[in-house]
Amino acid sequence: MGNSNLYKGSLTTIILKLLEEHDKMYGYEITQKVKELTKGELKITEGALYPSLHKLEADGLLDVEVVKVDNRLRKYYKLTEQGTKETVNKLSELQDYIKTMQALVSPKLILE
Amino acid sequence: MKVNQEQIEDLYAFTRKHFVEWYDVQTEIVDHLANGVEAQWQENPHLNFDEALKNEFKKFGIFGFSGIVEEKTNALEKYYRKEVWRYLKGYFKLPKIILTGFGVWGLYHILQYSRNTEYAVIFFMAGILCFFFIYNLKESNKIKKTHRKTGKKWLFEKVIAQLGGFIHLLNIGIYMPLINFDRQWDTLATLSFSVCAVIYILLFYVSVKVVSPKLKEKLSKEHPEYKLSLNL
Repeated sequence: MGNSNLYKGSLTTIILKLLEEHDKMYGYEITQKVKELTKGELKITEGALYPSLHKLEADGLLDVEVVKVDNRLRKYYKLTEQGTKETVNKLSELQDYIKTMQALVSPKLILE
Repeated sequence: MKVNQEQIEDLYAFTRKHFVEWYDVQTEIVDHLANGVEAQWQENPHLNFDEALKNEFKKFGIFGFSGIVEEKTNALEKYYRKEVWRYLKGYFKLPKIILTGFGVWGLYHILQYSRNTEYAVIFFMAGILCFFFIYNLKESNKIKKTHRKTGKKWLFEKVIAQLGGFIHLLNIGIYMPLINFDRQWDTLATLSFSVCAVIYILLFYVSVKVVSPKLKEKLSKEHPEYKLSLNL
């Protein structure tokens, strides 16, 4: 799963969901949180994470705050009002997708 | 064990060496690398800083940081253009549409009563071109001045200087080959030119006078260091 491309289309949803649960997060923290929650099964690559974060920021779904932590600057992301609404939509889309995939992969499970 | 100040400076130098010249992008990468190095030190406290950094850099893949810079530029340009369209639409709604309509009407009449419409059009285009060059020169000088005084270059300043990519569309020089002194300007052609020219001026005005200052204000709030550099 760690090397799988399956999660790529869901990266945006993963980020939004994490930010919905936490007030604000920074890039490295997001990668580590995903690793921790999936027990290392899913690894978000740095090369995919930052472009996604920047795109979400440009779309007005995320707000940014730069804070000095220890001896360096840290860029925190948090959901905007629009981002909170979009998270609900994205999660619902993902759940529908999972149901559809389940129907395809194990139809018996759905019938029961 | 924590990454010290000297090592943070080394990380900034490392990003510059790997073609990240923009301070706003460097800052995020530096924090990420520092976190990664510190996490490795938790596992292996004797690991050398350079070795840990090398391990972290590998995680960015074969293209290193280039993808991040490119995507960040695209994202900022997209944001800029979206904001321009948003404000531009306001000029086609009441009450501003009256001003827009008056502009079209005024320009149409100027062109219609000119002895040679083509000359009037060229004069008009040359005027806009002058404004365009002055703006571009002013913004480029600002970037150079900030860089000279603080040693920092900001990606969003570059995006502002290029009007989020509109600079290519607004460079009126590219329309010069269309000039034809023998052309006859009928009512439809004159009206079409007047409408396009007014939209063009509005696009330029909204970009320079509305969106660019708003973006600078937004980023000043996000990056206190940028705000400080404005006062230098």
